[in-house]
Amino acid sequence: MDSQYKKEGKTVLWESFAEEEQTLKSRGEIYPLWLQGGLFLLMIGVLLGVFFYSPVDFRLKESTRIMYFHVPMSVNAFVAFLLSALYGAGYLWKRKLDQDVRSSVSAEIGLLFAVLATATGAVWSRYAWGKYWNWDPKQVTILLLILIYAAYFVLRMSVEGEERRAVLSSAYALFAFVTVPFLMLIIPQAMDTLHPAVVRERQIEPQMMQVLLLSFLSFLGLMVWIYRLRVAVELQKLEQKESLL
Amino acid sequence: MKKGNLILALGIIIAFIALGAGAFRKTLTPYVTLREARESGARVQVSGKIDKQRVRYDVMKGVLSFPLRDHEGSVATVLYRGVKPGNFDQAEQIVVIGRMKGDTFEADEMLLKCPSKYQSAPGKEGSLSQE
Repeated sequence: MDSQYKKEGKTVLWESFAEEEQTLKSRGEIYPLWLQGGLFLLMIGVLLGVFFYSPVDFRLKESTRIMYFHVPMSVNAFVAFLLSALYGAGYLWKRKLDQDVRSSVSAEIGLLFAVLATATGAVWSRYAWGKYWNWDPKQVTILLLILIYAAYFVLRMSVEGEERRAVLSSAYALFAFVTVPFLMLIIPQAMDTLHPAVVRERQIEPQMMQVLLLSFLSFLGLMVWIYRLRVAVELQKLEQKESLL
Repeated sequence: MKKGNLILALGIIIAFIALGAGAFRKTLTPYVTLREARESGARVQVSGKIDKQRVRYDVMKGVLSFPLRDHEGSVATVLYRGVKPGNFDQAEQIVVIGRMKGDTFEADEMLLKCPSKYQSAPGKEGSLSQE
């Protein structure tokens, strides 16, 4: 198929994109227009809230605003890892490959948001603590988690055969999730850390909480959107593979 | 996979995590107590609370000194050479990085624990504690 794209140039490429988009739409996997528009407006609203409506902490100054990105990102990572485990269990139960696709796409998105949360956290701690990276328990545990899920993709890449890969990675996704509550919640809370827990303890001003809640919503919406697109693309790849067999 | 094996595997994993959480507690955290700092003599990170009343800053020499109380309750004077961090006065808990020399801890780096409340102005505790 690749050679065909090269030969006939851009128009074919464009048509095939359009065709692909049509198939994705017919699956109903892409957000409908009103949902896309709504999410877009919500995001604009969140940005306005973050930069113009929300007050800042008098000690942390402008760095307070990183919270509106950092915290929803880590919540998203948690939710995505949970989904990955649930669909992993779903595959082991039903033995349908789409469950494995959903599980791996969730793990991928969870990894993405975990990395983003770690990066935004490091930028913030440069200001709040004085260092980008201090091997704080919170930083060590999220790094472990990132490694655990990176290993998931190494596992996927190293196994031949759809079914075998699906079984192994579904089991791995289940076990990997067992570590998530420990690494994201229990251990950092039990240990001495520089990381604050202002959201869990509701120690932030009401306006900050309002913006944060809207931000949670829009990040969740964004994640579901990415998820549905990725699942649609992966399912289509799977179908193509199956039709070739 | 047999059901028994799955349960066994799950049990082993949970046991490992419990073991890990206990055994690697030390490895997971860079922060030690003053006692451990005294025993090792190496460059370590000590976390603790500052006695705000007894903070002294020698602007000419650029030396900040204050008593630090760690989690075990022992206290040592910290000598920090360097620029006083901007939000030092509001910090409750800090981490000092350096080594123990006799009874004083000589720090060359200092990290501040961020506030446990986010407030737009200092005097607003009242409105928050209602939440």
